[in-house]
Amino acid sequence: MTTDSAATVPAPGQEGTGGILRGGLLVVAAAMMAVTLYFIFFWVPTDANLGVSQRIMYFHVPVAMLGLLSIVVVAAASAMHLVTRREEWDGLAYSAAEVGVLLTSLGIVTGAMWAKPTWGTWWTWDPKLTLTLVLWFIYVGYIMLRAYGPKGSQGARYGAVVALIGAIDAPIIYYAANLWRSTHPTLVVGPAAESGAMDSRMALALLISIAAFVLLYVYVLVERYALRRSEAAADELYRRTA
Amino acid sequence: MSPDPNLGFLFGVFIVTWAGFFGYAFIMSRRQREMQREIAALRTIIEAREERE
Repeated sequence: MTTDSAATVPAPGQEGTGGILRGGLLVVAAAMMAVTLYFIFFWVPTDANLGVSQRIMYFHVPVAMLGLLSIVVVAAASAMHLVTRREEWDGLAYSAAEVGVLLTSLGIVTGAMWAKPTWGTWWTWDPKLTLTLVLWFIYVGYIMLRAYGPKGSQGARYGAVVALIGAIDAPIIYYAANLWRSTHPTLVVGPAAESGAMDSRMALALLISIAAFVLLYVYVLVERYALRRSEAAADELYRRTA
Repeated sequence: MSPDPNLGFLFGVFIVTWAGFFGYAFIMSRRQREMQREIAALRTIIEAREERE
């Protein structure tokens, strides 16, 4: 971080507009989530074949989708860092990677909790599941590299290379169920999703759930980025006191 | 009418998802407070040193 980082981090209790915006974002995300829960538990019809376990989809699809998108955010921010050499982009890449680990972990766990009642097993080496596990290892590898690898700009560059290579996994995971004979259900969101494959009320509930989780994702990412800035500012101040 | 036997899985997913998000947000918020305290203390040290010099 540059020496400016210490100066730009506000003093405790003086977070100003940024803090208010983050608080506002949390309130909107929480309200949206309350609406989502109403839709999931009270409004949406129960699937005739899968029963209530199908409702797991309203949690699993958004978190898995955002876990996948997060590596794209990490790669895009890393590419911007390589081009501009600005520390802010590296901070965003690191923050998105950490949030990506959380979401991919949740995607894997919620997927397993859907698989058990549906397939009769917690885990199978299905291409989509296996590639998602590979993505999880890419995130963890990135974070470990940043924690234990070279520090400063060299570490950021190494991390950027891992992120750019790791992002190749994202489209493969997305299309995995279409590319290979997979037991995983076919796509329900995105450009390759079948139109009309879902009941309209289920589709609406899923859309609302995705919107709520996207807001929550943005909130968590913004908070992590603010923390990253504080960490960088503290490092800078420690250097000055040394 | 007996409840769906898979209801436990649905609530399990609900709890895991919220525990994940809230746990992470809580850890971040605590860490941010610690960082702000550290930054304030370091600024005080630097200012005191600059005054001496």
